[in-house]
Amino acid sequence: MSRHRSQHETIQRQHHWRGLLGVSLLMALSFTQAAEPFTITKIEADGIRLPVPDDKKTAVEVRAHTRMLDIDFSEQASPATRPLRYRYQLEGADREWRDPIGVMRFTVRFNDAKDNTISGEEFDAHGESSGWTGDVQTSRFTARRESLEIPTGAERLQIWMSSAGPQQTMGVYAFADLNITLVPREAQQTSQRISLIPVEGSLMQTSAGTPAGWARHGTSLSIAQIAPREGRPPMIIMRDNRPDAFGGWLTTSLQHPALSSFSRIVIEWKEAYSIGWGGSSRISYPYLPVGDYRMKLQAHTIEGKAVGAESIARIIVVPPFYETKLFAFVIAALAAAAISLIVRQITRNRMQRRLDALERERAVEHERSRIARDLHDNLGADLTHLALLSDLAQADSGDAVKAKCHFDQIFDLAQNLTRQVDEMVWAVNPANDYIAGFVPFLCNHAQSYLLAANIPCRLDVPASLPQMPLSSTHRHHLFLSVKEALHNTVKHSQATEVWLRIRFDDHTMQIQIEDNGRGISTNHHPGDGLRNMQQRMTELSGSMNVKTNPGADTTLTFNLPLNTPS
Amino acid sequence: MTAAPITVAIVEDDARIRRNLVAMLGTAKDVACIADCPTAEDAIARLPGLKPRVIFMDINLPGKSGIDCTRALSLVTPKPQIVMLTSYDDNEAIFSSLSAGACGYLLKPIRTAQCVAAVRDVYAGGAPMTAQIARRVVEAFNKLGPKNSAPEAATLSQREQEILQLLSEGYLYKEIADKLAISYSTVRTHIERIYDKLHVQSRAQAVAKVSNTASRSP
Repeated sequence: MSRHRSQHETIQRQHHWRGLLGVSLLMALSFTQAAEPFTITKIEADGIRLPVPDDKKTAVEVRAHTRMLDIDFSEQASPATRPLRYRYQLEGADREWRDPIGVMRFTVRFNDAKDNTISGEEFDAHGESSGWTGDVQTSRFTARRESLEIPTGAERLQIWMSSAGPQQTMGVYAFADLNITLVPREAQQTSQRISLIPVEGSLMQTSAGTPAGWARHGTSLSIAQIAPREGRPPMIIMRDNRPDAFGGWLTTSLQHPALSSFSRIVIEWKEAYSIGWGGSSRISYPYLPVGDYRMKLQAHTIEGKAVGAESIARIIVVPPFYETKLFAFVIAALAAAAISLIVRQITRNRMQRRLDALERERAVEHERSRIARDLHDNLGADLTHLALLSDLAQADSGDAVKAKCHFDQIFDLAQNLTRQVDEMVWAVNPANDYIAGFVPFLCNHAQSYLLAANIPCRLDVPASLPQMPLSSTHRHHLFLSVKEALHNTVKHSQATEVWLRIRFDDHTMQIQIEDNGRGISTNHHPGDGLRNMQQRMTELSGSMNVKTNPGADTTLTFNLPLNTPS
Repeated sequence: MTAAPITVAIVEDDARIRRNLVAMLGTAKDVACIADCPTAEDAIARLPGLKPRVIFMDINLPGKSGIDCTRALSLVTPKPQIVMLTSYDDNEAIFSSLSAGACGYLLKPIRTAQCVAAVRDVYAGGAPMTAQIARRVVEAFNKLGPKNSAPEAATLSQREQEILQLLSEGYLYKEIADKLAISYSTVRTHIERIYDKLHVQSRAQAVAKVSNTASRSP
């Protein structure tokens, strides 16, 4: 591990130097890219190709719950260094660098007398032997010892060494001091020892040479090599530097007694190896959890030494929107908003109801104080007057003419009081809260009032009246305004005919009192009556208008907006 | 005056008013109060036998209303002239009374002279009608319509409609007489007939209502 890291640091330092020397960044980049012997060519998520970014920072986004993420890469054409092995690590998923499992094999075969294989024992090697240094010469060899039963019918032994595990296996497998001991069936017999490496009586000095009893095999014969060893007999090695070939050694004519008299064999050898993988390839990761990953690919020599720059691709496995924190937050926020809205609505409704209740209370309060005022102002004064007149009538009981005058006044006053009470009762009676009830009442009043003053009252009222509510406040103010207007007409106009006209359109009620009197002179100072009417109309959000031709007619118009029933 | 006095009955729950009315009627030689009833039930029980020519009827009575009482008593022969007494100008109640068979109304309080005059007036066939009542009468006749009218239902003549129209515009009987070039008493006769038709109309309406309800329900 430390070896890879130091290599990486060296490369970074080189970049820095190049920058200082003023070499353009582009140059540096292209060099860096050239220094990456492997290039990630394709990334697929469940068979769907994802774009591979040009730089190392831009991430490839992969959906979570992807069944299989495949990363394809190929070896750059670089004759000087290739072919190379590689190691990889997906930072975030792999704790350390990984070697794809390339396998080389050491096989012992038991053959019959005609060299047909009866059975074989295979010893696989992969990864690196514990004393491997990256160089076959300096590596520490590991001693191995295997004991095998000799199967019935076996007469001859054959040793196979091959890099023919998976095709893309690459690496070095070195053997030294390979000996076989034949253990006899009977205790009194002596065991036999056969030295295979070094081969007795054979010089193993050149890589091209072939030791006695050994032969090269495979698709690439150069894989089987003889390597010198410092101060010791040479060793035989398999150096597989081709991802598309295999090769190795096998014994052809192993000189030993027939195996039938032996019960087992003991094989001893020393080995050192570094076995990996090379060539264009694909790395696959099933079901990567959500996270930020870095796919790193590091080239290595056949001997397993890191070389060149890492190829890096950033891969982010993004959660589906419903698993994101933002989504959870949004949902939580929405829920909170909904709850607060509901709460607010409830609160508002409650507030509104309370306000409405207060408003109603206020209206009732207002109404009550108005009735109280009316009772006091109108009835109170009249009743006082009534008492006074009764007293006068009693005092003048001797004078029939005077007494009759008083009694007439008393009757008029009492009748007037009754009317007033009727009007007040009528005005506050909720049963009369409709235009259809108000208009006839108003007309009747106008007619009887004007008739008493000997003025005919003409009516111009629509045949059918709108079925609309009219609050007691409206009725009160309207009635008193009309009453006031009629009073003024009787008192000042000298009219011989009065028209009461009532009209409706969609939203307003118009009441006109038109007389054929002498009009209102321009220099007439508007009295309390007019001001009162004006004030009442303002209170109802209505308006009042006086049109007069001095010496002729006067038209008083009240316009009142109607609240459409909600 | 040798002619028999006009017989009058009073239906009024307020004892004081009832006593006053009796006293008021007592001042006129040509008028005789023959009964005073505190309730509609009492009136319906006693008056058909007594056959008063004129009845003063309060609208608001305990138990049966004055309107119901009017409806019952107007079926008596000879039909009494019923004048409603009301303390306030309730157009709806007054119109209902008129439809039920009354031929006029007085607003309380009334003077003695007014009271006696009313008796003489209605006895002579006088039928008071205000603009508002005229409007409601027109409405009542329009409501049923000529198509729906039952065979016994009355329809207004052209002249009657003219008179109602003028009345609803606020014209007085005298003015109507002048306008239409007819006598004052003719106007009164017309109005009397309008009242009769209104009674028929309202009865027909009631019958139609009953038969409608009956035919609608299985």
